[in-house]
Amino acid sequence: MANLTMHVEDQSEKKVHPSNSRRYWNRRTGEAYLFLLPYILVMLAFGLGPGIYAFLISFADFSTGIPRYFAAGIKNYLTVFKDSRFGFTFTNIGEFLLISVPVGIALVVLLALLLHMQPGRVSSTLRTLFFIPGAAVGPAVVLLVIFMLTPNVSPFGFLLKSMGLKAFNDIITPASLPFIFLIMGFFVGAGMWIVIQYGALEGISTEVMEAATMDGCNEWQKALYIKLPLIQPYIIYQFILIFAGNVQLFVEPQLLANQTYIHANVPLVWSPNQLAYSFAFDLGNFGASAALALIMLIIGLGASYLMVRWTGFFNID
Amino acid sequence: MSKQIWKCFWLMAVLSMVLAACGSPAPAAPAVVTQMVAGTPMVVTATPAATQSPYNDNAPITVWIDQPRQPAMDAFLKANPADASLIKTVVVDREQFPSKVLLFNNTNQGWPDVVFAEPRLVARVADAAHNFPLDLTGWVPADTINNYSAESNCIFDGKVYCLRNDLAQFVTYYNATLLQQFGYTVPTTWEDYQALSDKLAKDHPGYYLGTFGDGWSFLSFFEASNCPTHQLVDPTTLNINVTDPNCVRAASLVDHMIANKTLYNTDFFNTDFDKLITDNKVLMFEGPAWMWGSFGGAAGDWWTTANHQLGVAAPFKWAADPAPVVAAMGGAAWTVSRHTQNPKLAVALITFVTEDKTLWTGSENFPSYKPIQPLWQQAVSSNPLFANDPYPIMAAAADEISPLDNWPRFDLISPLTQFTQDTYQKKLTVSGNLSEITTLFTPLAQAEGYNVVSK
Repeated sequence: MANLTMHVEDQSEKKVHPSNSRRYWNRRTGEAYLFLLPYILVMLAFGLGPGIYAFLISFADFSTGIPRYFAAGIKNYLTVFKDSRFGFTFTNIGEFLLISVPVGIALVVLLALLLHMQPGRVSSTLRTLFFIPGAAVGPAVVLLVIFMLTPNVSPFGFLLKSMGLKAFNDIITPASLPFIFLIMGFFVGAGMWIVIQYGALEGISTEVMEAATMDGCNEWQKALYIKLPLIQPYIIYQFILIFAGNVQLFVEPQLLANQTYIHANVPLVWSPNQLAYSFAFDLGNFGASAALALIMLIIGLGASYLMVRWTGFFNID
Repeated sequence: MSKQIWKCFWLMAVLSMVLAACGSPAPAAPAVVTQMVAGTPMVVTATPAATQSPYNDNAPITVWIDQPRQPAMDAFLKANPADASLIKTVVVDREQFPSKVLLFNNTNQGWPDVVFAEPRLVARVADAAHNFPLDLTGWVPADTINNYSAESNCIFDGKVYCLRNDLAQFVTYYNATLLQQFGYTVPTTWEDYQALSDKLAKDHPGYYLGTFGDGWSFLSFFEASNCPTHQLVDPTTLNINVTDPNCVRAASLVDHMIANKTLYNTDFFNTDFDKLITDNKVLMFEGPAWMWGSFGGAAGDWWTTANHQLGVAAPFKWAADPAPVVAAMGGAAWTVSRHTQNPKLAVALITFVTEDKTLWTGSENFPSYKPIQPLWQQAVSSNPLFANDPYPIMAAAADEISPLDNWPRFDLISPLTQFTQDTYQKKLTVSGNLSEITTLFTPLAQAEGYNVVSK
């Protein structure tokens, strides 16, 4: 999502100065654009194109099953706001973001700093180990977690039972859902971010670190006062991407609410993206679905913008 | 910058007007007459309803089925080898059927021609937004339609939108060996069932009389009590009234049996409950007519049992009611698309798979088509699994399916499972928490455009 905006800005900026375009198109930049071409094409086809289409149909009326463009005005937006599940899903996702974003970032940064304290074989083996679960994709992880949280089959069943949790349905409660999704997300995503943050730590100049050692910093002080402030831009980068990713939570609650195989206390529509799906595919109102998707886009963009402004992420030192 | 944005807007506005101009032609109004269908007089089209595409007897058709329906397709192709090249079979998850139809409506192509799905799913594709099924009146003779049991679930606003495949009426399954050992008899009323639960809890703790832990098990108690949690008053009005005495009596029964620990707390196919059944710890439970197949039939072997141990008895009735009313767990149908180019072949297929004798002999599903029910009876009555002949009981229960089996256009099972599990997790009683059902159903009903009443 964040990527998308940056490119939108780039392009509009380019169009503002049409007279300068020839100056931009010299040999060097021409080659650069050639290399960018495959990405730009894909982005137009699967990023910007659908976005514009969503904007278009968010004003279309679908009451007959066939879109009538611009017939609905802002009715679809009102439908979204008036739906009784709107508040419910946004409360859920808010709760989930409040837990998952800080916890996710804190744990990743902590693990990266710990790994960086003692570089060597153990550290690099651990980094690989952390990275491996990233190979599992969303649906597979949901299955894994269900398996892990079913006391009668889980290898950690004795632990769960000792906590008084005898059945899967003792564990999956409305209150525990944000934590369950946090576990799923962290399991898959943490490894990649640990590698990125570790890379950022590797990028810190050795002179700075040597100076810190000479000044008598121990490893913890180095981590806290030297390394942490220096990798701050990467932490902000992680915040933006994790926020944009987590706000779109869909697969995990959708699969957990499956009634054919899993009979748990999970609402059919838990996250805003599921509500958008429900508008489109339960009610046939693609307009309201597109309207909600755009509202989600604005939330993601807004959060990223505030973060960038607040921290001066793009300021060049 | 802002100029560019305005240009974009104009471009979109022009584009949308061009797209809006491409409207769809209005369908011709068919002639109507009144006829007797499924025992009730109704207005039907005298001539076959027009499909939205020109007829072509050589056009290929796409058929959506689930895996267990593959033998039926194979049998049709074997019986009609000339049509084999015209039929494309796709195994799908039919819960996705309504949403896929919406996608095809948007792209104006790609619809399947024949779909195997429950009437509750057909109901969801029959609304204005989906506008999918073909009215089969005229395509299938009225006499034939009258020969399907519970065909009323397929009739929407006077139009026949599907042919029933099988019925899934609830009956009472019991462990005959255990019952004899304990010296009990099968209750006939819910009141006796509750009394038996007290006796069992006192004399043989650790044995169960059923389960209550998901939407289906909820319906097995509450639909059987005629509790209006989802009663369609008319096509646009839904009655949700959990304070109805019929709901209160079912809730207090369930609460009573949860308290004396004779009801388990999961769905029917939960691994823990499976183990209880296989270990002969479940004395009896209400289950749909196909469920005996789970004791080692073609549907798999979820539960194992000795031969001549599985008893089948009539579903319970409330003492105050004249006859039992039963819920249904599934029971599917075949529907045809109004977009099909080859309705003749589509109709030939769906009548074959619902009526063919050899196909249904030995099936564990209770056939809806009446003329083949005696054949099915022969197969099931001689099955060594049963302690008694289940057929007369299942046949009687088939006529007792609750009108509540006509579902509104939203999923009931997921919110009801949520309700049962939430009640357990919050340590509430079912009676005390019944109003949560109203809270869960009302927004779903309103989003589907129902006028929700409570009476």
